[in-house]
Amino acid sequence: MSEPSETHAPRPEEEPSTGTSRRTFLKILGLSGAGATAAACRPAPPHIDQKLIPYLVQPEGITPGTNTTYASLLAEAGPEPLGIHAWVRDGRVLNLEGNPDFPLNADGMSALGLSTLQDLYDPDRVPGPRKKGGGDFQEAAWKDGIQALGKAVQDGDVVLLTGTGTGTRDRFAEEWAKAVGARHVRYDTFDYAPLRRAHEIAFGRAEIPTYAVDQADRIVSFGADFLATWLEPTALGRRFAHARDIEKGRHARFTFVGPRLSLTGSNADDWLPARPGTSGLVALAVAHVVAQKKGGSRGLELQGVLATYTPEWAADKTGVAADKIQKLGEEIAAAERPVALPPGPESQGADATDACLAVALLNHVAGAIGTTVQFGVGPQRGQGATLAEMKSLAGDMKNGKVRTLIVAGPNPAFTLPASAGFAEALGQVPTVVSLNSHLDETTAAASWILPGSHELESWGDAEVLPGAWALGQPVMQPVFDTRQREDILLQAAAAAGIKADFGAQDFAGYLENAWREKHRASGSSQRFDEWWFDTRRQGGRWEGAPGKPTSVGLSRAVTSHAFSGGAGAPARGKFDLVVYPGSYLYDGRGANRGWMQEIPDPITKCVWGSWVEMHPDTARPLGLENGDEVEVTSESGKVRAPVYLYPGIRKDAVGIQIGQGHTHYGRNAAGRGVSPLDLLPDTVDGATGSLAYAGVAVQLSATGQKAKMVKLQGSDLDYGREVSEIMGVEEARKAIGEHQVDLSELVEAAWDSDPMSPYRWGMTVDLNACTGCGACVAGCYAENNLAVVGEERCADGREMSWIRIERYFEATADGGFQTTHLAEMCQQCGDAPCEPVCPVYAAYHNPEGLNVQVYNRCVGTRYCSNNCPYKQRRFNWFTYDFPYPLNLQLNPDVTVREKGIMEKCTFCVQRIDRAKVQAKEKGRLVQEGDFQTACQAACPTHAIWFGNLKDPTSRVSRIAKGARSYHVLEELNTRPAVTYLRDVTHAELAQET
Amino acid sequence: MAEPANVSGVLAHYESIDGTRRAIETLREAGFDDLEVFSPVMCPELEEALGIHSSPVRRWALIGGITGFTTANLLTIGTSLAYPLIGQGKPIVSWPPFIVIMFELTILYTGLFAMFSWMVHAHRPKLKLSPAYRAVFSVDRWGIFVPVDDRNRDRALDKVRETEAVEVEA
Amino acid sequence: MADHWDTEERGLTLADANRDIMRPIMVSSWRYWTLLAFVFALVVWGCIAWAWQVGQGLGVAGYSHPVMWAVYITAFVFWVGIAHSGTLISAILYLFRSGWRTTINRAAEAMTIFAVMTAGLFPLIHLGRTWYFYWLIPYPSERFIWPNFKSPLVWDVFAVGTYFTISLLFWYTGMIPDLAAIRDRLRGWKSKVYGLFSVGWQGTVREWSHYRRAYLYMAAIATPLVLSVHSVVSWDFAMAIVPGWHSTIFAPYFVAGAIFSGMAMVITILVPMRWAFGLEDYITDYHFDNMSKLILLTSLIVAYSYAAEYFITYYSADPTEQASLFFRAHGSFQGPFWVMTFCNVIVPATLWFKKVRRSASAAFVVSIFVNIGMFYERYVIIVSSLAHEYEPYSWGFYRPSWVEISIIVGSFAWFFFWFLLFTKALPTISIAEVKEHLAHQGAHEHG
Repeated sequence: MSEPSETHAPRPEEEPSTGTSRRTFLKILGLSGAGATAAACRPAPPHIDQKLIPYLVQPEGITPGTNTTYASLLAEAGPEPLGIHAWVRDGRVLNLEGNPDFPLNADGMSALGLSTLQDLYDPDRVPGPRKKGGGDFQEAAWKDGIQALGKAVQDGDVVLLTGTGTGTRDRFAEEWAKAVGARHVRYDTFDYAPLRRAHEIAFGRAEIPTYAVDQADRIVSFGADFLATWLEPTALGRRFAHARDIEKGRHARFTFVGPRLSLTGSNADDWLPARPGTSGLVALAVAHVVAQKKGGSRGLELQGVLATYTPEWAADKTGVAADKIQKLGEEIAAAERPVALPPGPESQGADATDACLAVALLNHVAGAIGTTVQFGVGPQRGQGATLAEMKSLAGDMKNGKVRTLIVAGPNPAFTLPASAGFAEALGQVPTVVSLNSHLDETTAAASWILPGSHELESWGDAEVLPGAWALGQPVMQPVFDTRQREDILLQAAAAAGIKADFGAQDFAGYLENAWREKHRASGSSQRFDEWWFDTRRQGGRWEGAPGKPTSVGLSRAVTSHAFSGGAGAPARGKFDLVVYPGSYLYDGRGANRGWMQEIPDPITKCVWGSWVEMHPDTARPLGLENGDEVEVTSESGKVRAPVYLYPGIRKDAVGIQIGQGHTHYGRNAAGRGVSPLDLLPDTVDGATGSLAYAGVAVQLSATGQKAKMVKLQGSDLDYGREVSEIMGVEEARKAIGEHQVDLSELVEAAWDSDPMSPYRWGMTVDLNACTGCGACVAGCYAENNLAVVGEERCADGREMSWIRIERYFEATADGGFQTTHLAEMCQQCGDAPCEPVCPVYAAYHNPEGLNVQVYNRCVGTRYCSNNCPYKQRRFNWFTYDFPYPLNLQLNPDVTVREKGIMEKCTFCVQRIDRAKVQAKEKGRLVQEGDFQTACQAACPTHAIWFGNLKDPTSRVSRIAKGARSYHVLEELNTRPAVTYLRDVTHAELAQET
Repeated sequence: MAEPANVSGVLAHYESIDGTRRAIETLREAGFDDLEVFSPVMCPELEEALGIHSSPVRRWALIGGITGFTTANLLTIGTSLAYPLIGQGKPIVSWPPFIVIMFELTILYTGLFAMFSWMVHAHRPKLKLSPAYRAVFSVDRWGIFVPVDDRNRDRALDKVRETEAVEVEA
Repeated sequence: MADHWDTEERGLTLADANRDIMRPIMVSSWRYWTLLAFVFALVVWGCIAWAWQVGQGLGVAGYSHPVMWAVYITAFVFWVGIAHSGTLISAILYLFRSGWRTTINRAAEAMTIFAVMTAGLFPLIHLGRTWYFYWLIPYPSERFIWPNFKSPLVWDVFAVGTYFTISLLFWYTGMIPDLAAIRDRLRGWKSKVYGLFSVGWQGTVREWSHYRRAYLYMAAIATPLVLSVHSVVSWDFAMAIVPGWHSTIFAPYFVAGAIFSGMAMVITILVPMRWAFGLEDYITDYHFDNMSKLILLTSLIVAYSYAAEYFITYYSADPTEQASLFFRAHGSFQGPFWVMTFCNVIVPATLWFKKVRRSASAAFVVSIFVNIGMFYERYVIIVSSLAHEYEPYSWGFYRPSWVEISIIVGSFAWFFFWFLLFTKALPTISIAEVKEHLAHQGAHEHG
């Protein structure tokens, strides 16, 4: 595909390499007619003028202007594999939704997952093969690159560095490495080695169990940020919401143990602020109490081990009051189905395994094993190299044991702490060939870049649960001149003249063979091609999986296990450092995606940068205010960042997020913020050798300068203004128990003044279900062509987001606070103040009660925004551009706005209209479930519901009548169509004054 | 200045309002009624002396006001009905906001009508000035022009000479 | 010191009035032209800034998310306010037969016209899509789209439009006899031009009689118009539910403020003008005394409004409203707030002293303070209210950018540019009325 001018014409022949893959691609998707997809895409940059060649023969199954949905898999998106439905139109993937059949995230999505769209269309991807020459990279031909790689492979001493995996891609890498005599190293930023090791010690099973939080009636997290970055946040988020579904009579109390309230912590009812890395000791003490209280066989067999670890013992080591530990223990003992989640990376210290073990024992004495903690059915994760192993690899690289390093996926030069010395070692390797799609820190050191295709352009699969296989099929042709990583390796092997039979010419064939085996194993009566077609249609095979949990018994070894005492309090004038993965940047892979930079961090509401979280009571005496720059110093390094005052962190700790501080990786990431990894020594967990993120002491010194810190939220409190509402659980139970408060009046109030219309679109947002993850915001960005405006403009409050999550603190009786996350979009008021002030009727009320904004009519007086009490209107201060190829992701159903125009949430009016057309074709009205808004579709916890308020049976009107309903700023009588359901907490709230 | 034959008469200059007024009275008693009086300043006394009591301008002003009010009604109500869009649940035709428009247009039309009607009634604009006009009349002198034919000229001259005229042109 | 315009003592005659007042038109100096050139340069600079803004988008201004209206609207309200005193002096004082208006009404009316011309620019400058400004004007279009007469912005179009037209006519009508006088002093083409504009006025009593009534009716309607225009402008804010705007006292409050700032601007202009053209015989301490009294009165009304606003807010016990006004005086915009209070309440209090009132230079200084204060008043009301609305999430800040500042400076230049042209081309004092005054005085002596 050299000249772009060809790209719109169907091409009979291809150069063999991609040709074959394309042929398979056609063969596979032919039935669903995606052949045309393939032919239609690979658009050329706009500046190249190209012939537009219309279809001579309309390809079967493709209707231009309508979405074709393909099931696929995102395995490299972030912490978890996501089963997705990709919306493809005219050969371009436009949007992603969760795959409802998928056993983990089901129909929910994560912000990080949605943002892989921007990763796919990232203008900073390496557009084709590149050769290092004279300091920077020169364009090169694929065949030369393949030759070079082949040559390097022949020379031997090859290391193939890939991410971990549970599927065919991983198996292939292994096989390929064996075939060419290379060493295969797998590496993931965050490995779960301590957790596996702990369970090996405790139950003789080195695996990750399923945490059935949904079954639990008492939840404790000893640090795992399981709603944002730990293990499988989207699935766990759903389970968490299920466990707290107050209308169903459930509301599991949730306690968070850890130095800093992460997104997960902000959803907790109680907070035990344990020193970093000591939450395991709290777990021990809690287990001690539970064993006493609960007794029973399980208690007895462990009392010996636990005897010494009393709450008092833990108290002075962890900084958590003994009575609080005691109380927690008693509550867990009293609970029927409690669950305790282990520490995540941020609380993983030098004794991480002990900590995980402590939690495992707690789960054991509490009787959670087998009920809420299930073995044999847990998420399948490949085990990557720990820091120790990576350091030995770095050692080999340094002393010339590695002649060629092939990087296929990970970016260790960034994600490993500087102290690991990987980056320098990289310089010692004669030949580094990167198959990464971006010019990241590791790739920057490469002599050759042979860019691999994006996940959405590649074949792949994964065993997400025992026996549950998800299939990732390419949903569009590569945007750039890239190839499937495995194909590059295959071609290199061929070029190197290695005689090895992979059973297929390309990876697509290789993967298909792998699935032939599964087909045989499944003993299905279907012919393979039919079975294969169904598999692709539903995105994998998980019949009967994961099956029943296997029962496990405590191993003798434990009873004699000696737990380490943990680190003491930091020396005077020093602070414990809390290093945690970014909710949106994760390990830094989100850093070049505009959405992930511009959607405010769920806790700090900051964008486009780094910050040092400090407790106000600590910062103020030091004369530090928001935005004052400080230098944070450890033995291993120093970073400079602005201070952020956060009452949700221990007074003797400071927190810095992982993800920023890139030196390469693209326009949005490079040179932005700092990486706390530079502060970490190469301390490891003794038992497993995986990196200890916690337990580092740092010094702080103010530089006396103000640093740029862009916080989008004006005030953290709502001053009792009926913006965010929270109620005690008893109050809520009472309200629900007694009777359904009749709010029909309120619902009718939202009706539009047109009685003839069968519809009045409305929405409900359940603050109790909302975890604040921000998936809805990313979904809106993807659907509505929202512009990314950048740091400078965000500083002026000019971000374009149509839906935002407002994070408010509500004081509690004990002097602490509860966090509420309030997803707010245009309230589509029945009495909209924005409407009458518009001199040109650009804002008016349509017959379905929508408060519509007519872009073409808008002259930009901005009066509507002044008069909107919810401040939900966004103005186009400039004409924002979508640099190629990001413009390919623009939704053709939605206008791209020019400068001088007001815009706002439309309730996805384009989806409403499509639904109406489809309903009309069927000769009926739009019904429940015909369509969803983008935010609703993305929400993993179903906190957002959308529908027709005029239909009394519709779910949305039933929810709106619920006992917890309220309208934001109700006293203004704007009669909003969005009804909120109050947040519910177990904490005792302070009397509002 | 060359006077055309058909217009002829006597022009007298005065230096004060009172002198002018007395002169007018004398002349009118003598039966010279269609006097043309020039004045550098606005002086109602002279109007009385000449027996000018009212001006049709006020009627025009009223008509203007009514026209403006009607136009405003047609405009606001008419367009609202022709282009009916709901905003904040207000009725399509809602009077209170329209009153502002009606008020403004009423005033606008009144003003315009008043302005143009005085010009029309004063036979303005004109490029050519009356032959009897003298530049001093815009400085500090009043003038009375008595249009007479040759028969009465002498009688007019006599009358004029009785007044406080500082200068007399025939 | 005379408590009336002591023309006898000064022994002025009608001919003197003619000569003195017309002098600037007859002779001119290089100083005038350099000043004009300088002012014009500033206007050009403002235009460049505006062009840049139109090209780039409004983002080059300092707007932030909650603060979507800022100095442009401030300037709009400021200039509309300035425009008020002109018609007030010429119309209302005319109806009240206050003699002291005679020598200042012409300049004041001219100021009105130019102020409205300046104010009229800002809604355009402020629009996101200036090139579609005409969509606010009701005209039958092929799109069958009409403006929304429920929107206060459309009221503005009508109010300001009417005000401009009427003021212009009023000013012009009053000037016709003077134009005729100039016509008669001049020769050649200039004479022809003035002749054209004087519509062939020759001051016959018949012309005077129609003219007098027309002028009277115009004064009669201009009076309610003056009051309505700034009320309508104030409703741009009062009609919105923004805390700090949504208040019923706005109409009278703004009208008082308008007269206050307008009078100040009249003084700011008259003092240098009187000095430059040597009109001390016509614009005397007596006139400044009267204007100062008017300023003092309106200053008291404004001060009262400030107090009332706070009291009512306190009394209403509406937390949002209270937060907003507390923020106004103690938040990020407290600087402008206290500047405003100082300039509009404290400084004018000096006018209680006759000495100050009767000294042109003192009055000039006070007037400058008042101008600054009133600009800040509008700034405070608009910006600080928007920055601190209902949703705490969306509280924000605003700082004007170089583009906004350039355009504001340019607008002042634009105003003075027109005024300079006026002083050169037209009589800055109503000759006819001065002579009327003298003539009748003469009449009384004789009779």
